[in-house]
Amino acid sequence: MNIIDRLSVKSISIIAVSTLIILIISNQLLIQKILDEKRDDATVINLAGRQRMLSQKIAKTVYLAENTDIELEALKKDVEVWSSTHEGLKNGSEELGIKANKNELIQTLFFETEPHYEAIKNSLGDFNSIEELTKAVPVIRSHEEQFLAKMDEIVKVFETISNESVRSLIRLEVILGLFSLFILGGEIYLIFRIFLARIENKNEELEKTVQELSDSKGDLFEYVQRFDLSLKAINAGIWDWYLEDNSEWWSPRFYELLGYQDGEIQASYNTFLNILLHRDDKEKVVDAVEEHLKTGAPYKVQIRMKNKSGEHRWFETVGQASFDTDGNPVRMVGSIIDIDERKKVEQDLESSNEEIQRGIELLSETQKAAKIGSWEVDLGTMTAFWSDEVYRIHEVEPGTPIKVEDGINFYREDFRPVIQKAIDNAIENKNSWDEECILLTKTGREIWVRAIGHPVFEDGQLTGLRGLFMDIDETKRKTLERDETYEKLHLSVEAGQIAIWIWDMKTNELEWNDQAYEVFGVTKDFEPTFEKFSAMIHPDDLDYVVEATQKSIETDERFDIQFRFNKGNGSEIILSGRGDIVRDEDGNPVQMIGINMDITDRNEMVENLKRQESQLRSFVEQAPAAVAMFDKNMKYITVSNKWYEHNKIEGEKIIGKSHYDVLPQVKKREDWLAIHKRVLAGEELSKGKDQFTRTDNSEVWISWKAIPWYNAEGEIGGMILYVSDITKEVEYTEELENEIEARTQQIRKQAENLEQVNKELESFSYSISHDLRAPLRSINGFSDIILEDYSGQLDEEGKRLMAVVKESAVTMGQLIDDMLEFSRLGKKKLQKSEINMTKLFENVCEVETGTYSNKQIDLNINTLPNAMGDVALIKQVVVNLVSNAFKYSSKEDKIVINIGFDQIEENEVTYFVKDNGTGFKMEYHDKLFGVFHRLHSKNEFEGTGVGLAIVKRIINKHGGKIWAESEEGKGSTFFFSMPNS
Amino acid sequence: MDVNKTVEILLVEDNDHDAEMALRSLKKNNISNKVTRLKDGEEALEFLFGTGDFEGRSVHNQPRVILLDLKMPKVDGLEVLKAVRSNKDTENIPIVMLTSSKEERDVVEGYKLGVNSFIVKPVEFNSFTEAVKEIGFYWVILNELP
Repeated sequence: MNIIDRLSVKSISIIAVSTLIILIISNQLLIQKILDEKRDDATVINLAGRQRMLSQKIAKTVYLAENTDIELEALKKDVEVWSSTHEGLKNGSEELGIKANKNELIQTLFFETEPHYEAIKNSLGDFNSIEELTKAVPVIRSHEEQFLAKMDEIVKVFETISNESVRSLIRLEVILGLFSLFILGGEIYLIFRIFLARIENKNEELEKTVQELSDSKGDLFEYVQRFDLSLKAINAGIWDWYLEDNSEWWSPRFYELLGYQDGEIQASYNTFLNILLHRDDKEKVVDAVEEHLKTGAPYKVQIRMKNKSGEHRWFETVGQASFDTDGNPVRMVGSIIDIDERKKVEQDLESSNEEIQRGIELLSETQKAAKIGSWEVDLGTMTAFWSDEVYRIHEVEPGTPIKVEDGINFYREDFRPVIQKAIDNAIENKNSWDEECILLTKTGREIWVRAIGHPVFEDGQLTGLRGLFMDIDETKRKTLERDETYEKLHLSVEAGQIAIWIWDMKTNELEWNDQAYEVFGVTKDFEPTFEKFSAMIHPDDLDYVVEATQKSIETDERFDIQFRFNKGNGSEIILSGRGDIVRDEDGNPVQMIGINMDITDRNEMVENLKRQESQLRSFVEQAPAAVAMFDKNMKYITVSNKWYEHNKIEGEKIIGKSHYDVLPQVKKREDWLAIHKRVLAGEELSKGKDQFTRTDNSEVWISWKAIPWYNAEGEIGGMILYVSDITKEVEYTEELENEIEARTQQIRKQAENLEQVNKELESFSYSISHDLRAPLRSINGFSDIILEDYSGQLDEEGKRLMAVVKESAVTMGQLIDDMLEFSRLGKKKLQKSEINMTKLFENVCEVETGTYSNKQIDLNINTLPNAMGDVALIKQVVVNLVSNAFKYSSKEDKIVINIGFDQIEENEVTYFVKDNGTGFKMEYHDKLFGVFHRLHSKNEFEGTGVGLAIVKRIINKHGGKIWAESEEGKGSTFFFSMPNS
Repeated sequence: MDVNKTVEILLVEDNDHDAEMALRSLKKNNISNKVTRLKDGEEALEFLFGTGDFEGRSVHNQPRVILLDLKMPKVDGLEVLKAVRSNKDTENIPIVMLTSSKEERDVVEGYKLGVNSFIVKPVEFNSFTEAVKEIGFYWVILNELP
């Protein structure tokens, strides 16, 4: 309910209640006033009565004063009371508790009483003896009667006024009462209307909710699309594994990484495990998954997978399981990246490390066994000496004489200047050298050698050069190869916007690929250093990054982190960073190689999805209706607060529990179980009225709607169920229906009664008509016999009287016939057909003109439209109207009759018959069509008074109307309307 | 009463006045001597089947036409009609129903019991001859009139 409704309910209630209170109070006041007035009036009337008696008593005392002993003092007192009472009645008196009456009539009457009062009072003004008193007798005698009469009149007027005022007050009270009722009714109506509006509102809200939800579904689709795009942009292939049925979803890139078209092979865990995965990696994967699902340990394994061309390549796959509320794993989502190159490098590195190790071992062995080549040059004699090993490296027969320059010439041309320079440097600056160079052996092979040399001094004089010589070809080549692989790796990641860097921990030098400039948002002239890079990490995340690096160095575990990073161009992004430590032969960390990816978009998307879901959740929670969100197994994900209220679930935590466990009664509803299945298969279902037994066993009526909801992948994630309690509405409807039913019953009963009464009436009229006919027949027949057989014995008057008897009998027979016909019309069924009205009128008029052949007739029949009706009955109508027209015009000099039609309205035609006859007063119009109603005496015009009643009945039966217009003496027009289809 | 008296026209009518008028009308046209009036349906059945008061009357000596009132005490016209039509000896006797009003004709027709004609009372010579004409006995009766 919106605020306006709430305000209006409130304001209407306030206004209505205050109006009612005011009305009730004023009603009470009014009643009080009525009582007060009545009491006042009663006082006055009582006093007036007492006054009358007192007057009579005083008068009597005075009259009898001569002959009886009276107490003058007592009389005086009486007179005093009498006169003060009079004044009080006239002008009002606090003492007597009465108010002066301002009524004009009363004032006038008092005024008229005044002379009599004054006279009597004056005559009794002062008396001290009987003698003095007797003087008053004639005065009193002459005024007493009139005084009393006036007083009586005053009392009467008082009574009238009093009654009148009370009556008007009561009238006012009645009006107030009615007004209260009206106000009460109005309030009930208004509140009820708002209540209805509220129900409507609620429905609208629900619909809106549904709409919004389906809108948000649209948003989800959009996110899914974006997600797809992001998936395409990054190099990783994504997999999504449903543990329930082992089905999987693989991103297009996943397929691509394996050389397949999107969807070319079925995505499933089984396909992955048994077809793609290298047999030797199977155990590793299964163990890792198990570990991850059991302990939540990170799932990250390097595996070999067979691509379409049958070649095994190295991939790194990471994944994260999601768990249901019971902690059971539901699905796992992860990614694969092709690390084949890297892996090979690593493997090579590994093997090269091994080689180095072996070399060193060899060297030490050699050293031990003096197998390391050594050489000497005597600068004095300019002779050279090689050890056997040196010969062997040069592939020269040991012992072969060598020259000093041979030491340089065996090097490949491009290395000769290097060595030459080193030698010169040694001679000039007494420096040692250690160079790695390529040597061309005697057989023409190019090999890497390490040449170490230093000057030899004797007595401070440079006498020669001496050094070591070793074949480092294998090691060197491995290293070079590694470098080359890095280069290749660089190339492979160029497309993926991945920054790759190598951090030399000894020199603290930082090198990175071209992509890195872009990823980090710096120009190409930026010289990377670890410090500069660190400075760009979001200050809040720096410690975390350093820690992770540190940890990686300590534990030799790869670090895999995400952190905020301020790009060179000022924008903040989220970087994912991974790095591996490269160690030297002693296990000391020397280098760190890593990659960084901008995952801001992906992160945002995840955030958005999370937000979306949390919005949905909070929406459901706050929904103004009973709403619940379930997963595919009908376990509660979230519910609205109203849900608890609606289902009478108190203080129970239901999230994560099965709907069927929370509400066991639902499990018994097979229809609902089927509906849940259908909804989870994608249908949207609803029901406007359904019964539901709540947990507290109360039965309610509900309306519900169930729709599936879709997850980020566009798949059905579960079901949303809306329920609203419509018990009140249903009860109200039932109440209404019951009432209607009751009314219908009542009406039906009445109809049955009516039917019964009709039947009785019918048989009554039938037997009456039958029984009446027999005596009529006798009257008629025996009159005939008298006229025939005894006409000779009857004089003219006798014959006339017999004729009257006979005629009356005939009329009565006609009456009986008409009556019967009229009553029979009621039950007769119409047999409708199209009627040619022109022809019908013509035929009927022909008969009538024959009857009035002695008159001058002006008959005009227009061409009339056809009508639909019962021919026999309509003919009766026409005969009646036409014969009436003739009959009532027959006294004119000339009969003028016009027959036509007035208008055609949709399916109705109005015909009319107009005559120039005697007409009637319009005020008697209503009586025209009543049974036995006649507007003319039988002497004037023949007739039973049933004809027009029959006509009206027939026309009404056809769904038409009949009416007439006339002016006395100027003819009349009868109209009747008929359906023409 | 001579039980075996030949009867040309049998009038079954409970109302004396109606019967009187009918007889008078027929008499005026000189056919009353062949008319026998019975007071109700019971008598009519006894007459026709030679039972009761008419014990001994031959069932082969039947009237040429029966004028039968519809409403009678004890056994009404329709019952007599039914009995007449369901007996071999009487089934072919033409029956003219006497009704009080035109409406009663509907009742008679409704029963479809083999009424040959009807007359709305009072039975006058004109209506009688019309009815007899309908039956086809017109000439038979009229020709035999003395």
